[in-house]
Amino acid sequence: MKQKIITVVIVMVIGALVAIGVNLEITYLPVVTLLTGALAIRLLRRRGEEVLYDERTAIINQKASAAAIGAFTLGVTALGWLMMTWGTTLDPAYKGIGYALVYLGCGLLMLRMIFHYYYSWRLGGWDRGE
Amino acid sequence: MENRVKVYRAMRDVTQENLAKAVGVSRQTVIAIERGNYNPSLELAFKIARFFEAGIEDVFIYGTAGD
Repeated sequence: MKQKIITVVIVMVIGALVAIGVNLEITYLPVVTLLTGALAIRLLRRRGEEVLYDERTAIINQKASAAAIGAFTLGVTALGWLMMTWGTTLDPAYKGIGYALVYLGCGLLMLRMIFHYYYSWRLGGWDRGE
Repeated sequence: MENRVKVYRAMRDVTQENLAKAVGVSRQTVIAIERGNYNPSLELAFKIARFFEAGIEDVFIYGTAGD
């Protein structure tokens, strides 16, 4: 629990310093902060005895990623289709943006399909039975 | 799937934290297993059963509510 709190504090400090760096236009500050923060979190995870990542968190991450991809693809494609179909009545440029959004959705689906086949192959899904 | 992790833990006087450390998972995972919200992998189920020096079928009971 202690390790988790320290990690949250580090992430909050990183966020604040990056925001300050962007606002004051100090270009090196966000970069240095992100690198130092990532290193600090990595060291903390190595030294800490507490297990933060296990099979349950892996499943949570898988489900959250799948849901996020599904929602994003659906949202982007629907918005793109709406802009392609009816957006031109508001602004002709919306048609182009609509196409870009629909292609983005298709690209994401294709990327998902590629990774799906890759992991299916890695995990023996294509092995022939004996 | 039901389990008797909480019962075994009480019998052996082991804390959730100690069990979690021994089997290499977080305390939240042990809590989720005990509450029946999460069914562990076969590997983790074996690890837990071995920790309690019991058979896997003594700790995890298949074929009951929520399987």
